[in-house]
Amino acid sequence: MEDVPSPAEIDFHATFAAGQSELCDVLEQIDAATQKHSYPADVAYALKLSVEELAMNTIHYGCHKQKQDCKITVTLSRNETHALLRVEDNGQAFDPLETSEGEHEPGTIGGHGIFLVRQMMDSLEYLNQDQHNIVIARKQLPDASG
Amino acid sequence: MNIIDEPHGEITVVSLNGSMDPDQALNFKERLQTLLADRPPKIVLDCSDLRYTGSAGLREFFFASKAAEQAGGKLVLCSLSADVQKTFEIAGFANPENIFTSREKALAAF
Repeated sequence: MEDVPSPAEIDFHATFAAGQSELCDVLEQIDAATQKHSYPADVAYALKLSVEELAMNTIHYGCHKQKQDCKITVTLSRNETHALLRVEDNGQAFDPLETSEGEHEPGTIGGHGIFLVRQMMDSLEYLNQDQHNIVIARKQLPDASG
Repeated sequence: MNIIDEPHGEITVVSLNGSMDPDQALNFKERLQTLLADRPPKIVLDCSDLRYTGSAGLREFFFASKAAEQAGGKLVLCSLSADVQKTFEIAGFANPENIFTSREKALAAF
């Protein structure tokens, strides 16, 4: 059935304390995972950048009042058509897609993070479930486009 | 990420090798502060081996460029990979006056 997506294969999954150095370790691990699973270079780049921007948003906004207990979980998976990125945290409710960052003014500093993610990924959605913030980003894989 | 600087007359060429993640962006900022103290700073950032930058890195590129300009100098970039170039373009930083396709062209801009 064409409208039923194929099950996703999980290529990377990690939970880490919401800190910058912890995030940087995870970014290196994502490099290794996308290389191991032969993601196209531009898709791997977009995914890594999305993890950096979404997690930095969480560190600076969603978790800034409760740094000690705040955890971020990153899951990277793939089905036949798309790479799927899920970034989840237990910080205060915060929808990064509703910030003014989506309306970045080119050539100015600040507000690039989510703007870059929006431009590099094909879709983004935010959910708040069980007091967790969840952002799901999708990027079409080149073989699926044609 | 490795940061190596070498003099070319009055110009300093800084080669960036690796990924500009948020931690490396801070290292880059500290390293550049020394070079920006030269009056007037003349800096080429050779990005041939820069594989990645996110917005934390972009921010430092932007501030370093502004700081060089304000000190009466100049900071330009060269040899960006396609993905890094695209990141600069999306952010609106891909100014042709500051980004060159080769080190030679960047050096000739001073």
